[in-house]
Amino acid sequence: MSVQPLEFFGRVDKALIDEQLRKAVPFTQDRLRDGRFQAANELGNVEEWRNLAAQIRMHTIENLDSYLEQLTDNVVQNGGHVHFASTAEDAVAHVLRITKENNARSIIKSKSMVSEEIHLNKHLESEGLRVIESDLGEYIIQLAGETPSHLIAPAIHKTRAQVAELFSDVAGRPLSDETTELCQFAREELRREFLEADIGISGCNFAVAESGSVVLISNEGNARLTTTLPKVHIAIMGMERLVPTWEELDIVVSMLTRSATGQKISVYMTAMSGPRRPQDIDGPEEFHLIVLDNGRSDILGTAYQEVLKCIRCGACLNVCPVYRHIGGHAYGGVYSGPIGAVLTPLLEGYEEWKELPFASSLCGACTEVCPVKIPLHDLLIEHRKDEVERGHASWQEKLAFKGFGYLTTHSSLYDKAVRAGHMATGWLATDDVIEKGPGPLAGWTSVRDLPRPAKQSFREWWKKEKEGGTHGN
Amino acid sequence: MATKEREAFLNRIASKLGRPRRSGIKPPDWGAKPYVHLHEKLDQGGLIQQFIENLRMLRTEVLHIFPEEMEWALQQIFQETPAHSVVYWDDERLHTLGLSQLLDKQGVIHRSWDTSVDEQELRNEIAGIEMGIAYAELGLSETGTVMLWNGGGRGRLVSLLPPVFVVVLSDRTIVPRLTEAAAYVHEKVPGGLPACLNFITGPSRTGDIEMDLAFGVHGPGKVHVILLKE
Repeated sequence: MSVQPLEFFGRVDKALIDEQLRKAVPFTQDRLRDGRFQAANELGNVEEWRNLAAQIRMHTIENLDSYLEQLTDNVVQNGGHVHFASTAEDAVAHVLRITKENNARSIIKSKSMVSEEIHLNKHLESEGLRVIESDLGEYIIQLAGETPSHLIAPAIHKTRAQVAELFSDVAGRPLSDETTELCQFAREELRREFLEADIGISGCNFAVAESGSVVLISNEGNARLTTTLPKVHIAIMGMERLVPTWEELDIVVSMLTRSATGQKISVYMTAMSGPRRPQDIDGPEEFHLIVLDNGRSDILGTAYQEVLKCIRCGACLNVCPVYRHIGGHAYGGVYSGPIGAVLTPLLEGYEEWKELPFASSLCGACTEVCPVKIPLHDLLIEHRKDEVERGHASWQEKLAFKGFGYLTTHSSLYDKAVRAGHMATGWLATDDVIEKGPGPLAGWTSVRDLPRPAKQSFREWWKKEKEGGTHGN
Repeated sequence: MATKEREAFLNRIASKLGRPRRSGIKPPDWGAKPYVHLHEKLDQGGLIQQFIENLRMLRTEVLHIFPEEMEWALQQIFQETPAHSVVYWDDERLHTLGLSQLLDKQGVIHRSWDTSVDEQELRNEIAGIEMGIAYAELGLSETGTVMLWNGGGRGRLVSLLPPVFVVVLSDRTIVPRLTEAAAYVHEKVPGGLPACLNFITGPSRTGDIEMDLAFGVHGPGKVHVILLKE
């Protein structure tokens, strides 16, 4: 399903001239990246942690049918209901059915990327239901009618002044742009919503198969309120978001919070195992778990399988030079940054998302920080290859790569081509640097210089060097 | 859950993985224990010290006292965070400390999480209460986390709705990290877990407005810890 108002390059252009975004994204990126870096340093052996976390995630994916069976058996044992959804539509239908069964009118939500993925709010609202996002960042962007621009910090593109304006509209009186006043207002406003909501909908950071628990991690406490105050709790999980036992939960949670914000643990980690028990007088009376496939099973058994190890920490966004410049919305999909560039075309096809694998410099910083060792930039290259093979690449690119492939396998031709390139660019270059290129070079040279192709190929230079010839350049 | 629906879903996974359907898989022994070096040099005293320091960094004071000093500890807390109403767990460990009488002495309105009363009434009442008090099962040294074993008289709203949360725990239950807590929970799995387990680390916080740290946006913005010397 498309959520793009503009084509990819249109979105990028829009992002590049957005001054607020150009300030806010690097600022947030640096804070989160430094936090992660410090947390990794404090561990002293982050590689060992990454190896173990990666093994745990891979083992779980390779035995996904078994662990999902165990998980869902235990959820039922705990008194909960389980629903399987092959598609986004199935998941939405399950949610709508539950709201009807409960005569629900209002729904409170805690931050869930999976619910963004299935565009749940839109569907619920079109059925006349009141839906309120309770994570502060999500609440802000919901009021603004926007989508999250970061996995962990959904409203990083908004200034405090913009937030004050949005909140003042709701309050019906002017609020200052002081963070404490804005938070206090959100607390009061949302608390009322919490107390009145009929259903709470959450995502699932991890489910634990051995106990049928859904584990939610948050700093604000809104996930706790969402899953405690309403009579009905619906948790929606991507089918791969589980671990076998509490032993593995320890490792993945330890990696998640450190990689996301640098915190050793988040303020709240809550494990919900079914609805309230007979002796309880708080907590939901009904618990539903929706297990969502939505394209994930098609990734199993392919070259991209490792992307399913992802624990949605956002560390890859925080080190990505492309994300730094264009922010989250330019990616167009629900998931942005390197993980989005890999995942979105897999979940939704190349047709609409063929540019995403190219929104990368392939610097590999994402792969280096990934706490579960997903080879993100290798998978981006895999996508580029697949796009060419399936005919989604542009004809210029196909031609260029075909030509390059031919030249590099025919060395004498390659040498000639290098020399020709050097000569052909002579009129453009000053001191062997091209500052203003024509045609396809303009995109590069409008923001940076391009070195002029060398006079000779490396092979030629090496040959002369070995023969004791003069030093070329 | 429709069994047929589930089987189709799980069979699809197995077929995509290119193998027959699996069932009853157990995780291997991972061998690696990357966390050991983080606390191997700390004895119980060291773990307690680290627990206290971690919470201090999260703007949470820990009062490390003998059980007989509870009255003094509550005085300190009410002095720093004035509150007029308190709700606390209906929990033997708090009753043994004489909490009800001590709160009388502080002159505050208080009630326990009495599960025999009407739910809506209790909920309406505690929506306005200023302080919640609970007793933690474990404390995690590495992070300054407390683990709450909710259920029955140990209501989960006590640690959530009031703007101030006070948690009491024994210093004998301070363990190195989440690993030990996870092992503790794992052992209880066969007998069944409560509907909700909470791991709480300091006050509710957010950085969603320009990464500017703010406290108490949803959960309690102020947390006090009373750590009992036992």
